[in-house]
Amino acid sequence: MFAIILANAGLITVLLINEGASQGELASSKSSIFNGGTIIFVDKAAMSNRAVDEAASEPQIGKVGEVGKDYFLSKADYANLRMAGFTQLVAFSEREQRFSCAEDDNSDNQVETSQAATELSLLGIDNQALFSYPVSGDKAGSISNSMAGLMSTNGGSAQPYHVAGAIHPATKSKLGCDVLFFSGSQKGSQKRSQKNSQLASGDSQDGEASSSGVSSSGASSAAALPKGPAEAAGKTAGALPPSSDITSTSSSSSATIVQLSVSTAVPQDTVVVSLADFYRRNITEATWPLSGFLSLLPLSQSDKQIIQQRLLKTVEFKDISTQQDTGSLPDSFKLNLWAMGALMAVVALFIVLNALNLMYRTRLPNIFRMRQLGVSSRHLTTALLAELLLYCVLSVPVGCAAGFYAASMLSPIISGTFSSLFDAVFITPDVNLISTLALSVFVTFLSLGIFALIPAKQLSTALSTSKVKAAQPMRKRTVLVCTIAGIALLAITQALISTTLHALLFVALLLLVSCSLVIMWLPILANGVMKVTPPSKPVLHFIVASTAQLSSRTRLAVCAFFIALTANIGMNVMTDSFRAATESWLTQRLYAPAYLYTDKALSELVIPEGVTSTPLLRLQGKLVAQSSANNTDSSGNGSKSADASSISISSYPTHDNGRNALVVDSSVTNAWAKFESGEGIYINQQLAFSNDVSLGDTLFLEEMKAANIDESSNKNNHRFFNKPPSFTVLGIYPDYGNMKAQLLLPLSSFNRDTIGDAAFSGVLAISYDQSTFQAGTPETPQTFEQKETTLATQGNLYSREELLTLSMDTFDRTFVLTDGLNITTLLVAGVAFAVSLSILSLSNASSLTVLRALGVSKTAVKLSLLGQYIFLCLLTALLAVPFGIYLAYVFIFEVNRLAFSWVYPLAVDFGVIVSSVTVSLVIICLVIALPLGRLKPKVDLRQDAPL
Amino acid sequence: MKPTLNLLSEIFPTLTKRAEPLKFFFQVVLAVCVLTCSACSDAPAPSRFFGDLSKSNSEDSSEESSENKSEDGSDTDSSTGSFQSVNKTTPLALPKDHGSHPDYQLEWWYLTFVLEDDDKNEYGLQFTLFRFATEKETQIASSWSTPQQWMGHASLHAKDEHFFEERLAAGGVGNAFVKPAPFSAVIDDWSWQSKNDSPFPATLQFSINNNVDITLSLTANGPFVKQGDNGYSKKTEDARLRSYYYSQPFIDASGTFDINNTAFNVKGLGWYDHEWTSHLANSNAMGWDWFSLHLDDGSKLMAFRMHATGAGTKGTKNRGNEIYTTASYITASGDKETLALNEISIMPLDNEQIATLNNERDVPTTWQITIPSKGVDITVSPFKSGQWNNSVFAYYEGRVSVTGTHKGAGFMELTGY
Repeated sequence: MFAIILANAGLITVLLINEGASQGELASSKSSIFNGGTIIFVDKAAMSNRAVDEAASEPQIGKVGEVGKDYFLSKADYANLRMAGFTQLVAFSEREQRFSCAEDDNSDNQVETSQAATELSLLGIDNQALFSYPVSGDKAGSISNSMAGLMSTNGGSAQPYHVAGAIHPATKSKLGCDVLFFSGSQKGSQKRSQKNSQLASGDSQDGEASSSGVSSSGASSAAALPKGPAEAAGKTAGALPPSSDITSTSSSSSATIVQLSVSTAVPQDTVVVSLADFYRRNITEATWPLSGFLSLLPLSQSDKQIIQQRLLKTVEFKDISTQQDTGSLPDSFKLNLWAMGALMAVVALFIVLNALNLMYRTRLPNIFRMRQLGVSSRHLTTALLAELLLYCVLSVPVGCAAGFYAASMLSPIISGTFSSLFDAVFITPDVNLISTLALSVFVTFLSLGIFALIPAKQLSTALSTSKVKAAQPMRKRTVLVCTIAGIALLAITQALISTTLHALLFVALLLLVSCSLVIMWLPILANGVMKVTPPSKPVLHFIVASTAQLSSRTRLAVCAFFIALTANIGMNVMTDSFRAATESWLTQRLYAPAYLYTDKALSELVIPEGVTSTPLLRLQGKLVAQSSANNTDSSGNGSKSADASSISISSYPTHDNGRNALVVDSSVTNAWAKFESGEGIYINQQLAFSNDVSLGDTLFLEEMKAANIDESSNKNNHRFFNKPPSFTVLGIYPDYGNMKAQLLLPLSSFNRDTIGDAAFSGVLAISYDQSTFQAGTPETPQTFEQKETTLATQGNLYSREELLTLSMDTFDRTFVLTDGLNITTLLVAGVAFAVSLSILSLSNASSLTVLRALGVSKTAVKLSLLGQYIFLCLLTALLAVPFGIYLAYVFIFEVNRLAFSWVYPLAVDFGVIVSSVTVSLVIICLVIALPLGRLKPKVDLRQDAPL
Repeated sequence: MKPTLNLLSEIFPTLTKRAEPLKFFFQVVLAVCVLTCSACSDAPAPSRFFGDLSKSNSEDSSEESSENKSEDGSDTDSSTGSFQSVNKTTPLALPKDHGSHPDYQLEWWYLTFVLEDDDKNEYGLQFTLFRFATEKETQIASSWSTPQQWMGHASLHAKDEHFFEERLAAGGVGNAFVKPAPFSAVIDDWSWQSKNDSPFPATLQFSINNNVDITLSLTANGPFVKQGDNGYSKKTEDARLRSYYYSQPFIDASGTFDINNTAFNVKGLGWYDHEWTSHLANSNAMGWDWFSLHLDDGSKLMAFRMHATGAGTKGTKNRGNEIYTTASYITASGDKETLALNEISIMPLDNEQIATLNNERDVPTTWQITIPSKGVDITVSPFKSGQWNNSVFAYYEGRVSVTGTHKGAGFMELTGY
């Protein structure tokens, strides 16, 4: 029963974590209130995603920013547009706000601060408009459904100081509370708002912000704000009575209490409330204008024209037409998660099987007696199966509950979702979650049903056979032959892998083979150790001997533990390698001190003097043919027709920084010089793997077109380039997480005059000339800050460090779940292992009694038992290490390569492996300590029937 | 940070729910009820008979629903809180009362049409604008919006298609309003625009889910009819629930439909109801069966039956659930007679199973209405099956045909099922 609980809990946990992963970070790009596009006055957050193509996973925004000097988008504009039929537009306003967790007390407005304040973005949206959309049944509908928590009426809840808010589950979990409150004594001053204010000050021409250098003012609408900082703070406070009311932040009716519900449609670190709640008390449109309108559906070109005409204001449409590719990183991660889920299922199966075996074995004497008493075998089997069913019914819910608990503990997303499921005022019945549960219950019943039959059959055979077969230990030679055969099988199979499915099947095969090898080797290893153990030390000898004996009888438990540990090591090594590779790659690849992400055309950008900018140009093309470098292999015909696959063509700077930044896997000799002179290109792994391109090959491209114009101009390739480029592959570079095949052309090849604007991807690498750092020099027309401001008004300026942090944060957020998975798998396997060991050791009772008779103390006996378990664990772990690394290798070079066409170097960090093994051993020790404490070495020998 | 505590608080409910899967579902339903009710506390359910709609939207747990309601709704009687109340001493006056009455809690402008195209295909069309107000005590002034909330419903039934769209808007933003002179009722790009202070003649223009574009010219060829006692309309015998209510049952409508880019002309009859009250919000134990019928002799019939909910729709076949029934018989010349309970009988004849978003509902959609004094004995049956509006607050609203002593067509609204 315990085994069923355990197996179920484990399975549920893993499934839930998987679910959490898809709900959380991975899903955030799929349904967000910002997905359809936005019309924004100025906004930074959205742009951050474009910072690093590969790592971005936040929602992407198309937007319209207003550049009119004296205007903001107003309520009247909003009503005007909606009445003109633009009902997909939803007005919103955003500000930074410090929030604290509150012990909500509905009876009055007393609020206890229980935590330090966290700065979040307070986003007011016209929830009425948002909820007009559900019936459309489209994406926007699902968004508004998922935000049903905001479905209060106009003006929030019945309690004067209570408002309904929506928050991302991950953010909620981070905050750890259901109720937030904010009061006005604090104001936001995050980087984001810094940028806001920079931009705002530029746009509103409120010279004050920039001239006084107060760039940290959260009040981006500085134009309308009072001048004094204190007053400004008061204004920023938002839904607050006049500041005289604010006596303390801990208990005051001035605080606004936000009842949270969760929705994955909400961006992270954001609290969404209705605009009616947003514009309360001191906050009015005059002091804090609308940030803009978000569009629930993408706006067409004609829509934009009409909007432009209707607004009678100069509105700039910055439309990021396609959603940001989050790349294959989430997919890759998800695939691995599923692999882990499958492994967990296998582990769970082993555990249950093992438990059943043990259960029947220990009961065998009783069964014998009952048979002798005339109970028919059929009756017995039925009774046992009925008992099993009872166990199932009792255990599955408990297991599920335990799984929920574990998952909540391990996954912040799940935790957030749960709290909303059960605590919050509103509920989003999560179909996925429920179906996950149903699935696990079904799987458990099914597998139990099947596997109960096996031991039962064995049992009935055992009952009818007079003699119990003794296990024949395998001879070393056989084992050796088997091992070699197994490894050969693996090697051969690995060479045959050609699809993702094959790769995944290979993982299964790998585990199977390694499992059997472990089963074969474990007794041999244990015996070997036994031989070198001096018999003069009886306890030690007993430990080793007993281990040797145990090792042949605990196959299933060992298998479960071994698989868990192998998977654990494999996963850790893989993740670690991935992280290391990504970080070093990013570090090298981001060569410029800053990057500007802009929606303007390249020719419109104003680059301050003394600033060097390198634009990233991008074209699309189709690979129609490729010719191999060594024609000799290919049966006379040097070129083969490739499937017309789409390729992205990016510009790459040829200056020194660029050279240093380019990380290549392999390249021909003198590749860079050839690249500089336009004699060839670099391609990414994706292109190389998916089209089987190797160094020296020549690619033929057609239908090249710039991203910003739709017309196909395959006949005018020459317009794009200064001279027709040669597409000879000079080198292959890693491009982690990119979904697309890509090739790099030298920037100088591009004809900037004809296609500069069209091909401009919106990213500009910025480096400052050294001289500009000498601020204050009379000749320098602009200070460094001013230049930065000039740049920042034209888009989002990120420093290299910011980008790096941003990317790695995204990475870590994505992979944080791995830890949870690992611990779960290990814990479950460890517990099962320990339990089966302790049951098995009952059969050792006679030896224990002998040891006691020899004068060995009780503690020593127990320690010896503990020792033998740990010894067995250690042996298993040692065997698991090489297989774990092998598994990581397979994950990276087979699964990942075939599924996503990119690989990264396998970095075997000794520390990672040691920590994996140590953690598993610690778990085993802790778990074993429990049943061991209760074990009495003085055992009734009459119960000890031979099996 | 106190993650442990927080986790515990999350998990304990989890554990209990897991132990009993049904309970989990129950919990979900309960929470939906709470949500619905909390919404209702501010803005009562939007239909002609509001009180019950929260119930109809959360049918699986009517008890919870009503419990919550009674907690919210302090007025179990007809007290109106901070709102104006409906009374005989302030009679309804036209054209002044065509406009909005923000001091009352609820209000609606309701247009229904029975139309046909040149090929004699029949259509049922509904255009409704609802207004709700939040209790003043609970309302903190917001510079974004007023305590008013607007909701628009547009529904078009063709023989084998149904188009429905719901719009919501905050008051005071500027995209939803009803203005008296010239009369205009607007929510987003849905507009009902007159040239003077009367709602008719007017042009009605709206779209449904970008699939349907509707433009209708509306003219009235008869007088406005003040329902009940000169516009003071009782919903219960003791008048605990009551409203101001007048109608314009003599509307000629003509115009064009554009359904999925196919345009054609339509014409037919329309019926307009305007009702406002502060007394219906908490009548949560009731639903209503409401009829507006155009009879072939030019007379009109407005009839409604208040019924208790939660008693099961099967029971509606007897009069046990009936709380109050009344009707207005309007002659072709526009003379109205209010019929008392003993002068009219409204009886369900047959039920229809309607599959809605989450479940199946048993709704009585065929009725027998008899008014012996007027020689009326008619059967009202639905124009087609499943005329259900899956709005935030779901209800039955659809075209009906009349057979028996009189022929005719009209609209039927059923709530509380």
